[in-house]
Amino acid sequence: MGLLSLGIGSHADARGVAREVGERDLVHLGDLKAPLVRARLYRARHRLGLRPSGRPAEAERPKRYNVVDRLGGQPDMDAFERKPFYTPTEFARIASMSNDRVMDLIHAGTLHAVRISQRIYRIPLAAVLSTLYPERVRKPRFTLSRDPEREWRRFAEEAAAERLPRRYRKGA
Amino acid sequence: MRPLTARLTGHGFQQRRIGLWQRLERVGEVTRATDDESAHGRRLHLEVALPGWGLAAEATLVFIERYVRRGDGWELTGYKYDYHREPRPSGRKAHHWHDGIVHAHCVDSRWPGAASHFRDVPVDLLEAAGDFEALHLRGDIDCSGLFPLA
Repeated sequence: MGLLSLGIGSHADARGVAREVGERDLVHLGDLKAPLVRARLYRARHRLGLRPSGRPAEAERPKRYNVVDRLGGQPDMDAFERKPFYTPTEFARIASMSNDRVMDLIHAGTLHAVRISQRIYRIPLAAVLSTLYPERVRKPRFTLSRDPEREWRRFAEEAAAERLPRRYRKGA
Repeated sequence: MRPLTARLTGHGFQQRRIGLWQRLERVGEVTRATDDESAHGRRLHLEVALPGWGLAAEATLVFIERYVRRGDGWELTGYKYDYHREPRPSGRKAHHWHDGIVHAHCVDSRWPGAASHFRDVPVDLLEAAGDFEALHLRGDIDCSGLFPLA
């Protein structure tokens, strides 16, 4: 009984298995039940440094990566016109990548964009710069106000100056 | 109606302010970031210039949050999230929570005048930032569709 008769995969799988585990093992596998065949395959692939998909581990595409790494170098900061918002097509041109790739980055949340309708996005300048030049992104730096007490009071003073409608005012 | 009153631990507060900075740096240029702790509580103040980064400011976003200490954490007790079209006064939109009232302000950029109060729902800082960003991109501030706080 062969692998295909066990219903564990396609002809391509069977040929792959033959290469991976060797003919003698394959003959032996033919006598086993399907779940055991799969377990033997998994172990054999692991032993050979192959992913469960059969591809070498190093050939797997990393799930998270830096956009700049994929560019093969950063575009010159002065090489593109500065403007408040960019279309995905403009960003694709600046970053030398395809429009589809840009949309993938937007949908994955890697590239910040403002959605203005169902299919229209705009990318702010700040998002373009922080994506293409991550080393220029500043680290969070919070400071103290000169007079924290005064700042605290100012919140209430400004709120009072707003003059909420009478029925909402305190004590009304 | 009370807005999101999630109580943050000291660590949670640090995480939040770092997260806010990182998110707002993708919206524009953060020009002010202060975190004051006083006897009354804690006050977070962030200002963002749009678009910033060498271009003249078209708008300014101002985010202020007030927290008070509750147990071993910090509880949000008020906020003011403002969008100002520059140069002022040329339009404004704001989400506020103070004096126990959640409300909005809107000043139409075509007829700038005194700010009016409108009904609003509780919003998070980042939700407000998203709203302001979309508003900025649309152009004129249009106050139609808002209900007055009567």
